[in-house]
Amino acid sequence: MPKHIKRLLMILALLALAFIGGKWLFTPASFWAYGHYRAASVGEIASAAPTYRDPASYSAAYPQVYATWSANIHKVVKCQDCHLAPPDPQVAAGALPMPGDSLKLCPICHARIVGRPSSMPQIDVASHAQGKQCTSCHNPHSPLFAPDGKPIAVAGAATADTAAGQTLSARCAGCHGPKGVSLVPTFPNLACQKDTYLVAALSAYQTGARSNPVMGGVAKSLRKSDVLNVAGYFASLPCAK
Amino acid sequence: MDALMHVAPFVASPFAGYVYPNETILPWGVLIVIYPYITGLVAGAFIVSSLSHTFRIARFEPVSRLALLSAFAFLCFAPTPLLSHLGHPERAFEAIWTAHWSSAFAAFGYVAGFYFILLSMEVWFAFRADIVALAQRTQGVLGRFYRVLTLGSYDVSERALAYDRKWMKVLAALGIPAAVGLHGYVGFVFGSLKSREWWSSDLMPIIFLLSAVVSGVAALVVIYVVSSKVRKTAIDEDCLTGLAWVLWSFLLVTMVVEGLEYVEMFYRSIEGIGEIRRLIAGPIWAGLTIQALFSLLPFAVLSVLLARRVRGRALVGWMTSCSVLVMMAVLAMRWNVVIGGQELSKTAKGVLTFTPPLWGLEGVAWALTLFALSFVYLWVLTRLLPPWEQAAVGAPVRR
Amino acid sequence: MTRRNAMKTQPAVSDRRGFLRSCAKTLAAAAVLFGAFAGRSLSAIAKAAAAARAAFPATGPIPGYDWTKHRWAFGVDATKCIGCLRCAEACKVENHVPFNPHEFRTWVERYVYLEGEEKPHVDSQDDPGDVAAAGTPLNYRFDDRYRNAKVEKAFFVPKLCNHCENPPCVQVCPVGATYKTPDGVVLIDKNYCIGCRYCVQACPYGARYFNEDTHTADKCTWCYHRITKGLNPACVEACPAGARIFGDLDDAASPINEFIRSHPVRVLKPWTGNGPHVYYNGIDSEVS
Repeated sequence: MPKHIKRLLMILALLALAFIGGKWLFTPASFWAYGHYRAASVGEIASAAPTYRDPASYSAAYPQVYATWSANIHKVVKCQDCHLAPPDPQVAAGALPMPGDSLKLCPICHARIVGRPSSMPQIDVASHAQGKQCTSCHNPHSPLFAPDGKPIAVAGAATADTAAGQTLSARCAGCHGPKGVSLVPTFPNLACQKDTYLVAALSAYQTGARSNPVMGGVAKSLRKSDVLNVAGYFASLPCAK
Repeated sequence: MDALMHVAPFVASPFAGYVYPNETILPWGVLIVIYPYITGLVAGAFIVSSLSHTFRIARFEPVSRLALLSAFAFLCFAPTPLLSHLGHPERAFEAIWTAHWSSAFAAFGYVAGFYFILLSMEVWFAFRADIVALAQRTQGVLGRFYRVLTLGSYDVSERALAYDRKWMKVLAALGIPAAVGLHGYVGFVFGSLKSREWWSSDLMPIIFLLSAVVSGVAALVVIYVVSSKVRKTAIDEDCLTGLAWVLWSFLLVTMVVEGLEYVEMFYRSIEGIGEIRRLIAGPIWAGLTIQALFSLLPFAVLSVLLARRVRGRALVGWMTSCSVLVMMAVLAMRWNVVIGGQELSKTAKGVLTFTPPLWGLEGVAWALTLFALSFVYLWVLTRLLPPWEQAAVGAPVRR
Repeated sequence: MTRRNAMKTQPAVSDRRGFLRSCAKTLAAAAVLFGAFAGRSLSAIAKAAAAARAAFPATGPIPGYDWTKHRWAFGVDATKCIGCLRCAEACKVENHVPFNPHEFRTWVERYVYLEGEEKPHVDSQDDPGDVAAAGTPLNYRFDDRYRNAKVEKAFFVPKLCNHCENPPCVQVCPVGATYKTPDGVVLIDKNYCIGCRYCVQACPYGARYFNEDTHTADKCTWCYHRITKGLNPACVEACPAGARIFGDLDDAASPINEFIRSHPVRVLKPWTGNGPHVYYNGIDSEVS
């Protein structure tokens, strides 16, 4: 065999050796332990520290809030869902920043958006909140209760006593018409109006958020259940033609 | 919904309809368009050199060594777009040490490595007589380079050269399946994926291989004509006509198989065909037009050239023009497949429009630079190892 | 040009024995050099192998967690999802996913059928309208573009990696940087991934993305670092509506088994043969 062929074969043999050697040298130590992968990477992945905390881990730092929260309907909403929205990857352990603007926060879940199941309580933010912070009426950790602890009734025709409402409505007929169809051009119809809106409106007159000398007095004379009932009654009436 | 979103440091593609959020940044860009293009040139140039070395078709003798050098030059540059694209190029050799054989990509390291060694040996054998002569004549660093290349043997006796010829025959024969593997696997990479409708096809490896040969032969024609013009040497018209025949026949089969793919796609019209129509009428309209037009026109011209046995300057002129157009057509085909496939959303409900960046590693400028550099490298190789004349035994090499 | 006798021959060395001798010498030298370079003796190799066996027992490499005793699976109840996207944000914080609308481990899609139309309008967090509604890349929101539209039907569908039984992403990885664990989770080794993005192409569900921070492929891991500690994935914890369910198929009392038993669940793109392990309730044929 000519010399150059021998030398060529030797080079090829060295290349083969280098390949085998490289395979042995550069294959990571834990490769092949469980399969075609680096077994050590499983531990690397699993050893990362969880950051999304179990709400119970905050019970020591915020015992009263935790007690309220865990006993109420919002216990399905974990602390970080509200307190870290937008998320802050650098939040210190144990600290839960106070959300600033509940009007930007609560609608994330509760704004009426097409696609949300009807079982989810949803509102039209502008007309429901009317510029007020959600937390002015709702305790965020027990939202069916006001911040002072009193329950908030959930408006809905199902809970309204329309017969009682009809009795009450006698005092409305003077301005708003006998069947909720107004006789005076500047006074609105109430027939077939949304009950939730009527509740919101009367509540607003009660608190002074909407101000009107006549309606203010009328609304303040009503109890919470009266508001519900009369709203339910008008909502059930047929619309004006 | 077509507002362009600019999120530094990468650009998201605008889309119509619905695409998965993770699809808005295309994973594979122009680098993955240029990579199969360069390996395609390797396959094509190698086929031509094999026609001479393996199949002993004498008319391709004038370009056989040039074809070999071209294939080698392009192969050296083939990994560069991939290395530029990898998130961790320093880990690239993992595909050799722990190759995962179910992946077509793993095949790349081995096939390319094997093919590189094979092609290096073939180039060495084809030029060994010249290397020996140059080693004895050249001074300085270059002379030392040649002397190393001789592997210490200056034996150019008939016996030694007979060994060389035998090795060349074996290597050239082995090289054909290797070249088929080197480029066929790229087609398999795309064709085997069930996630992308535009890629998933049994015909993909065949289409890639055929269009690769087309582009390689066309590139070789351009290289041969340009180098002859620069060196002011005569162009062997028998050789050029032979290349025309090879180009014509591979172009015909390529167009038939590619056409078959489209015909069957539209005949079946399975779910998602609406988005495919939108893709064709939208983002890849220009690319498909170039691919079709720059294949059909040269095919028609080549048919005339061959039927009327055109010779002389007309042959050279028309052949070169056809080859340039064909090279553009195959590049367009790579774009239409790689980019077009990603523009058709996996949701079958949307189409994206990709505009490549100009600068940066994923930019058009870098891809074109790598492509141009492979030609520069080829030029350097032709200066180091002039392929122009077959070195006879003991004959000096004219530089 | 005169013909020159170019044959300058070297003194003849080669007869076969001589050749074999020089071969043997080269091999021996290479082996010695190599052994010295690698710095390992036979006993050291044996010790390393024993240590590897100890560190990687059949019950898995995580101390206190036997991965042969679990078969994880995920459920999605699209009838409950309210599209609040707490899950998407929680996941990004938990797993250090880059905060932009183009890289997600989990996301939510909205399907809206308008009156008189057969095909739904679909949008997700990459939609420019929703990006605008979010305001900053740290937030994810759905806008209210359908507020005044005549909507026939609409629902939200959370999406994430399906951790398939026959993952095509694992099949195409050229180096072995992604794999399926015996407890059914498909993971990515970001210290081994070369970033070729073949797996990103191969996933039919768009669950994978190229992480621009680590320059590797990335995807949902079902919060493997949490579930191996007995916790739920972050998205399951964050969901206030109960739309995400996680559990152990091998545990009869697990929520996932209850979910699968009590709902007509289906998987996405079953025709791919991937065998996904995320079970959906409440989606229609337009969801894939």
